[in-house]
Amino acid sequence: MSLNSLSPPKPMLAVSGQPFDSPDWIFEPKIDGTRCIALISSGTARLYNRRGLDITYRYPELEQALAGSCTGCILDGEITVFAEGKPSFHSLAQRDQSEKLRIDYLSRALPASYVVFDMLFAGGGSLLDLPLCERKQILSQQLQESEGVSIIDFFLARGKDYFSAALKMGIEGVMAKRQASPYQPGKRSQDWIKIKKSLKLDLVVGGYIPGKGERSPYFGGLLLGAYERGLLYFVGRVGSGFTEAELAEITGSLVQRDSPPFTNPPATPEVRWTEPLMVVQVSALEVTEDGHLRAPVFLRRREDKGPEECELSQLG
Amino acid sequence: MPEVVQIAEEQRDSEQPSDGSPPSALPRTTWSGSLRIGLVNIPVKALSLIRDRRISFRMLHKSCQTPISFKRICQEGEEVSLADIIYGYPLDKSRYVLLEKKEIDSARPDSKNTILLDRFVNFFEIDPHYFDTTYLLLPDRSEEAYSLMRAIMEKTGRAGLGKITFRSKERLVLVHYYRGALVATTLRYDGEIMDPQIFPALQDLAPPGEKELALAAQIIESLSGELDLTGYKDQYREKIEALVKSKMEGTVIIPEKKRARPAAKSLMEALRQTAESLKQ
Repeated sequence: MSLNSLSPPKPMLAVSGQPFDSPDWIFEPKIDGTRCIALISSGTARLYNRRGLDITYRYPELEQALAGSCTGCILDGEITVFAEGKPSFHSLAQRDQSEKLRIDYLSRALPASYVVFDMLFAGGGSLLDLPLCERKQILSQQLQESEGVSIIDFFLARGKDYFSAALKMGIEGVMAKRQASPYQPGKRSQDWIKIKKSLKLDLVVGGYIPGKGERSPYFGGLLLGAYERGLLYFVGRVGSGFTEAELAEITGSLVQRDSPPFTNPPATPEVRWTEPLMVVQVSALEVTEDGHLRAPVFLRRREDKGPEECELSQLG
Repeated sequence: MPEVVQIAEEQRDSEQPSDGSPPSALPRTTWSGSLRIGLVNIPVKALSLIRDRRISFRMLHKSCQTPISFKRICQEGEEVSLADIIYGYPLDKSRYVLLEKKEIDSARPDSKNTILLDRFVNFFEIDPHYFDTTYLLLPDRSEEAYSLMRAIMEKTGRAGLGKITFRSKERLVLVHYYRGALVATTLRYDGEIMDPQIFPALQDLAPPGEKELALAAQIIESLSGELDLTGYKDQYREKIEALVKSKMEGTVIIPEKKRARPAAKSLMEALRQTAESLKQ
């Protein structure tokens, strides 16, 4: 069987969960980057993202490093760019380029790393049905590590400690994986559990984007801000996590005004401004370097907290 | 539309990724909605199929090499904030009919998220001069219906005609088959293409003689061939790229990281040590 004729397998997916301890499970750091399946055969490597798109052109340095790292194998891992010793989503986002000149430059200025955590095919045969611990063993025998390619470390049984350590070190979270589990391509499986920290923030609503489609009676997204020295700063917009009842209730309580309440109003088209009276709690993956929320989700309204108590300092 | 409004809008559009982030590799969805034919509804996402590959530069201040930014300055020399901008329809150089942004906005059509296809025409009979720009339509949890629509459009060579409201402009749009996909090509309005015959230079041209006509036909015939656009390259672009590349190698200092060992390894080892040190 030739690997070149294969379309890339879909990566196995994880469900979300809470930290736990169990001797049947291992725990890996959750690397915040781009999920990537790598096909390596006869001295060439192709990289595919979660949706099966070929992203090799974007990371020439990884293509080169992987081409010599093993022969005839399929790997699963995460592409990331390390900045100050940690995976940096911000640096990785800069690698999302289509112009060859910039790609060449960035492959040296912000070189990517491929952190490999699974092996799906090696030695002429599929490894999918083998238990995870055996796949890990084959991976460590078959894959030659290099500056850009590393095999992920894992920790046995003590998931809670590993998770706490990850948070202490500013890592996004951990992945729990059942040792005896096969690789299930494309499936969101209970055998893999992602355990992530999430920020909880209390923020002031200062505007909204009118809803479209099913949301047209309500709003599409709320514009959120927080105070510093009496000024309200825009920090992001939340559009998911609302129940129908919450949509209706919040829509009914918004008080429109003509001018933006924010010091730094976003240039979003169609935005409507509101009096900064309502406080909502949202969760977010992180605060980006330019001070905005990444992947915010609405949790609840907070009627017990005043707008002026929502301080910008919560964002770190 | 008054020119000033257009300029302001262009600025707003270009200001969107204002964090200085580079353009991303795959175009984003620019419209989402659905195609409707009779009682059938096909939810789709649209993104531009046209890639602008013009080379762009940033203007820098020669002495400090930092980017130039722009301020809005009125004729009296004052800097004007966005909140203090109103719009004027120019009557002459110094007289304007004043309009509030609200008044302009209220004239805009509401964005609709349905393209109602109520007429099907033979795609190959459409005058291509009316074609404006093409958007790729992707199924939006509508794979089955999309696939059927794609098959029938390919088989019949027909294009569905409808209207799309996009960025507050209502456009005529053709939905048709292109290389394994459904695409939507916006059409220019009738009045947007000038009639060449209004130009005096074309009027009263003397008809050519028979001999000259035959000779010209012969030349054209000898130069005729298949159209293959892959053989044509933007030479300006290639020259600039080569120039940038040679300067990049020579003068741009690329921070080659001196790493004794990969950051991934150091991080994972530190993580393990921290976890082991935690009290059970």
